[in-house]
Amino acid sequence: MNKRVVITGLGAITPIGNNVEEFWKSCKDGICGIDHIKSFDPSNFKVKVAAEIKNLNETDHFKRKISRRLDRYSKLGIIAAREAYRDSGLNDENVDKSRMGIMVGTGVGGMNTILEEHENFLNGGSNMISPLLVPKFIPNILSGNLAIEFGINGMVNTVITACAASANAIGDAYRIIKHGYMDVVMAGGSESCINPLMMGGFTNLNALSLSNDPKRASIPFDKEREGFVMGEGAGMLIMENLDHAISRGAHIYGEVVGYGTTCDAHHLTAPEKSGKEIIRSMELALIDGNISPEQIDYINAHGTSTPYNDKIETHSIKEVFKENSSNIPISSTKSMIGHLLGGAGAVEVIASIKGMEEGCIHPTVGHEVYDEECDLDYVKNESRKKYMDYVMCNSFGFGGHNTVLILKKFNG
Amino acid sequence: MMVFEELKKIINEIMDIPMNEIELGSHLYDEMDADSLDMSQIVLALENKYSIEIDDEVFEEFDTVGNIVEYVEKLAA
Repeated sequence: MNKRVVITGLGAITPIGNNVEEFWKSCKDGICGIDHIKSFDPSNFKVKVAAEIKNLNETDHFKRKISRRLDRYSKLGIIAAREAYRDSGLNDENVDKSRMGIMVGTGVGGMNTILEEHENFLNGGSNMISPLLVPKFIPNILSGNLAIEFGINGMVNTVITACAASANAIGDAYRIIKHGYMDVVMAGGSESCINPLMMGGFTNLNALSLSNDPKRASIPFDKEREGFVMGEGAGMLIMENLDHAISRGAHIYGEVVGYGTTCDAHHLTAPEKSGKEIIRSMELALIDGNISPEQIDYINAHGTSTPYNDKIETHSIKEVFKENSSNIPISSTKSMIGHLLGGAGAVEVIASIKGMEEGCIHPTVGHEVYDEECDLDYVKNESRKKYMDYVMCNSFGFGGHNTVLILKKFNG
Repeated sequence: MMVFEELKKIINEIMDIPMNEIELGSHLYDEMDADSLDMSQIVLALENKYSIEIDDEVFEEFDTVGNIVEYVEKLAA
């Protein structure tokens, strides 16, 4: 028999807040976390802005010996996971760790470490490459680190589907719990790659905004949008079957009720123009949750601020929601935190869950210029009060991955 | 004693153990909680510092800081 799957813990570290409370307050206030790049000197780069985490002293979180063993993407993931685990009230006594799993996503893994060690190699030869290179950069090592930290012995996996990775991780965790393979799963994602190599690569792919104005760089659905803004951060959830959550008296934030995932099978980076597989991913999520399109109260869009995504996502929403599409509020968290790639889906699910809990939709900030091809209700610039029962979260990624989650307010 | 002083610096950097707590008789695993990743880093640091090549199999049998010092002093002599 299928189990109901609920969310009982949240953790986040983002460019607009280093925990869930700070992040969500900034979301409601429409704070933009994008600024001129500080992680490296961008003088010789066309790209000038990014959404970096502020005021993070890594030594407050990790002892030196452990810190040396962790790429920043792992550190961010662990910080978010600690918050989610603490928030959930789980401990060694109230969960069977052999029935607990981990499902986390990342786009590129420990790319910062690869760069550092490649520089060591170029400067001093192969004997200068640290033995820690491999255990720091491999993209599954965040999962491994979390398993060690929390003593989790169940199904521990990593999902790599570019910008849809943590949405897929949450979706896969939902299925694993729904079908009874695990009772509890720590699910989410992390990314940190605001470094010269990745920024240069994404720039030359014409994917990034080259704006020098941090407030006019990530402007989803605005006619003047020209690309996404790289962000860094992590989001983690504790997900568990409803009976398990009730038996230990956990606070329940909401329920995951629908998951649809498809692939364009069309192009390495560009979305397929008719949006047919995006449309199908939304429809599959609705069918999975046995929900009609009219029941969706809000859409947290993928909304990257690239010319193609926002246009095709808008078109796809219209195809699914028909005449009702203009009545559904849509917003893009990326307008405030940039694009967290493999961390994006999880952080956006957290924004959606908090929004449902408080009856508040965060805005799409920075929106100024109307685009006739993006003509829906994007909750421009100011948050909006609305009671919500069902929320749809969209995430799409290079490789043609389309992933849609549907969350439900928990009403017992 | 030069190798010992250098090794203390290396261990401090890699394992975050205060230099004044590291003695020739300190046990790498029982007292200092070293693991294979610590040992790999220590080996590489010593190889690069003294331009020597350390036999991994010999190194794995060392139990104390003094064992390492003695071995490296012989190789570097």
